[in-house]
Amino acid sequence: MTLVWTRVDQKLIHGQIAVAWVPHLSIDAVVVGDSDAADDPWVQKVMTMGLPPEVTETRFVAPAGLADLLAGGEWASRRVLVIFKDIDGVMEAVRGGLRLTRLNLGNQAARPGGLGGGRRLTDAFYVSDRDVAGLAELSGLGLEVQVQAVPAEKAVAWKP
Amino acid sequence: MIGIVIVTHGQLGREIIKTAEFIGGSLDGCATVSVDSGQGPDSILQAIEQAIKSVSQGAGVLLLTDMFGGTPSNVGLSFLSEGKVEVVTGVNLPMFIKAIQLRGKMALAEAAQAVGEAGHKSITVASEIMGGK
Repeated sequence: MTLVWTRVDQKLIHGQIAVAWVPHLSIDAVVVGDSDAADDPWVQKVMTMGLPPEVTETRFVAPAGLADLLAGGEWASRRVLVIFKDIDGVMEAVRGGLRLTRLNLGNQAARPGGLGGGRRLTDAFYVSDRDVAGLAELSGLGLEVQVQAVPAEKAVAWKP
Repeated sequence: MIGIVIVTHGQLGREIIKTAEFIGGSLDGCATVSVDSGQGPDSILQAIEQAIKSVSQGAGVLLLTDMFGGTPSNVGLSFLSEGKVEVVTGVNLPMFIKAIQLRGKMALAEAAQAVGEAGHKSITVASEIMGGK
């Protein structure tokens, strides 16, 4: 299995994924690591149908179960894109045994007092103090963190 | 009369309405929701909810979204509700004009069907219908 790209995007699978990232990285499998989506067949149906036909496998799982899922042999020849709704999800997956080398921050809107919080990294990605602490921890594990909404945009490296 | 809400990335919806008004005169009972980068799903959800309320006159609301698989469509589809809200994706000018023409004459589900068909029929590859030169 080649884990090609790991992204945080509160919109999960949407236009930027289907139109830009999937073709750009020749992705053929998308795995969403989010507990709410994993329990919502309606969201799964809508999002799966929105992907181009090159993507022949789409799964929705709780973040903690990602490592076990991707350890399966059926993923051997796959080029996988993993999407988390938030940085908490990434932390859960890493604690669950998922090994990552790179993390792309895609979309997280400013939401005062909420998950997004107020600190602006780019127009598309805002972080709370909790997010920053999480990113610092991931960065300490050797993860390279960058902010980039679409492939055509220049990536901005995140440093603690 | 069926209310109409166009939900798109950026100002596309507003421009479709402006263009249709240029052709057919001022329109009532139409609203747009513009989804911009940096806007979260919750605020999009609220904006659509408000827009639906603002155009609702009892005959249901037709939600037209720009691209299946995009955020406007993903969020818009969650409002689907039999007899109350129908969603048609891939909106273009001919579809919107068809919706305007039918909104006072048909029930919501029928109108949605007809608008979808109008969308399909409005797209042609010129060389295919003209037989080439």
